[in-house]
Amino acid sequence: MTRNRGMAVCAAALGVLLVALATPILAHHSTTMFVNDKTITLEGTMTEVAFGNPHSLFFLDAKPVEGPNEPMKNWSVEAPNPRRLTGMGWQRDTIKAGDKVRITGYARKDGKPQILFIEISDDKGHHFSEKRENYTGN
Amino acid sequence: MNRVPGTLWRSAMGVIVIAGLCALPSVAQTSSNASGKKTAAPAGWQEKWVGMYEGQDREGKIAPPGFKVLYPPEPDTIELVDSLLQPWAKARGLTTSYELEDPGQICRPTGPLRGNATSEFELLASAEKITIVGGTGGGILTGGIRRIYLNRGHLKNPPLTYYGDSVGHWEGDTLVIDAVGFNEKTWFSRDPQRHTEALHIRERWKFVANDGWLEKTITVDDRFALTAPYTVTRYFEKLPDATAQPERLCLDTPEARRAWIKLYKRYERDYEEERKNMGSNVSLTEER
Amino acid sequence: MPIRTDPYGLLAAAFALTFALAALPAAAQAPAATTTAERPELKGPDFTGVYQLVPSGASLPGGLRNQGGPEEIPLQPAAQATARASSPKDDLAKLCMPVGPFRMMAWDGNKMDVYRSPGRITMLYENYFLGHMRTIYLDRPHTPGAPLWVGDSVGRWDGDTLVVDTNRFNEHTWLNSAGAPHSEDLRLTERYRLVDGGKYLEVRMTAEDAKVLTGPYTYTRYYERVNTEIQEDICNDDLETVVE
Repeated sequence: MTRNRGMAVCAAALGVLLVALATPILAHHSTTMFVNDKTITLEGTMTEVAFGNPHSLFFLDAKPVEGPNEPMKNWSVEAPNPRRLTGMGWQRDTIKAGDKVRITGYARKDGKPQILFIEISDDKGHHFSEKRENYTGN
Repeated sequence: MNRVPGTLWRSAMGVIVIAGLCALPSVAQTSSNASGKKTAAPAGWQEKWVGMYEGQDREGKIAPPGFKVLYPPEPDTIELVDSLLQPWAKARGLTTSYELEDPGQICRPTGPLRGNATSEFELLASAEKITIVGGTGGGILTGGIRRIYLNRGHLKNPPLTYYGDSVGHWEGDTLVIDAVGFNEKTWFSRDPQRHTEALHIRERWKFVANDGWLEKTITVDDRFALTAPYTVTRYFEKLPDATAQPERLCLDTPEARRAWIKLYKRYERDYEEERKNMGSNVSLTEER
Repeated sequence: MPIRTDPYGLLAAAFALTFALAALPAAAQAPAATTTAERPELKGPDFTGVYQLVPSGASLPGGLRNQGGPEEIPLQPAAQATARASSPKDDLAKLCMPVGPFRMMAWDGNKMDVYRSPGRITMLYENYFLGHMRTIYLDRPHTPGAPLWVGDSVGRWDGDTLVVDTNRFNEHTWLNSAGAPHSEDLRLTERYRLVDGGKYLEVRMTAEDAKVLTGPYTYTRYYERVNTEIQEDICNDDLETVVE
């Protein structure tokens, strides 16, 4: 494929510039491996809780509430950074490995056992949730 | 000798005008180092340039008064790059494994094209080089450090690295930077938009708005991945000298580091499984 | 014959004028601060440069040589027990996390570059993941805050010697590769000076931690000033096996 330099490129770049300026800035999470229109709610037991920047990560042995006949799997949950979590009231040791939890998150496009955190509740009355429209990812 | 016909003259002027219009978004951008006039370093440049900077798009900050941001940051850069990706590069993006190949997943450097406008950075200097920590230069979080050598041209066979081989020279008050020698592990943006080792980044940095802002005009080219180069302009406000450089680490707790590496290895194993399964479906005995 | 005034020509001239105006230098700013009160980094010699740790055992002019090291640190019995119970696989260096200045300044093969900026001296390490970045703020007190991997460093000049005081460490790092722990009371004092006509940078590193050490401990290292460049060294390009 030949590349045009000079005039045609200028014109194309200028055209793209005009289009780009006309396009509103997108504020949502960019196109990654999660969908933003399908959520999964998991019920199970935390196996690992790891707070960290830029993303925290949890593991739980769980199955989806909508698929009670599915086998138990060790799911992972990508979650916000510690400041956002503590901002929800969720301290590092509030929920621990061994606690029974219910977590909702966005599903993956490829169906792998991982979700993008939206909210969590445990059997001690804790409930924390993320305002998903502010989550811009990394 | 005949006078140039009026219509031809007007067409020529029209070409000059359009060329001028095209040059305007990237004001002083020229096509290569050779076309600019190299000068000695400005007297006292280190004192002026060294320090802490904060990018546009922080709350309330857009660009210095009188200056227009020509390309907003991601995700609109994503759209721009998408429009320029060659078909095979687009296809490569579709088959890229985010978990295994996004350098940021386990805190490998994210490269010189991510975390652009919104990042802070610090400039450090010696007589031989100017070093940028963070900002355009990658994020501090993931080891984004570029050393821009002022005392030499490009190495003959630079090792291919995340941040490339960057060299700079002065053209009056403008620092002109040229970078090649990139590995293929980083992306054009936080989407899997892949570049090749032919990535070539040219930058022109200069102070504007009463020396309060640093303007960076960045031209990104990759003759194998893009159909054309693109140029972005970014503004960074110079902060007071006493501004702290906070410690910033990617996956900054041992448990987070271990957890993400565990996830990475899980995806690695899944990937190997899938490959093996695909392989077992291929029959080698049915060659005709 | 002169070419008559022509709208395109006028436009082109207007562009040319705009470019010419844009090229004018910006209005001059106030002159940069130059007194050492405002620029404490100028009170002492210029350490800016690239440095390579001299291997232990090598003898330098004047009989100077590396002395001591993190492995010889005198631990209290409880700390010794903690160290004995640790395993090399738990060394956070294997996860490419910072090892802290006490270990890093004695790290075999350590290479770093040093810069000075208004009010500070900065150290970057070739092995950026293990050494990270150290900002040494001059002539000012410690700031409070969360515990850090490389600690909070403040420095002052004592003649030709830069004296650096670092505290506010987190408890994740080891004091040596054998798992020697430290508390959040760990405090490092470093004394940097150029020796042998500026060819070498001498580092005297003292650790104090009343909860863990039997007393303050000091080691000495020499760094050669070199002309070679810092290379990119990405620790987690090759991940060691992590036990799950």
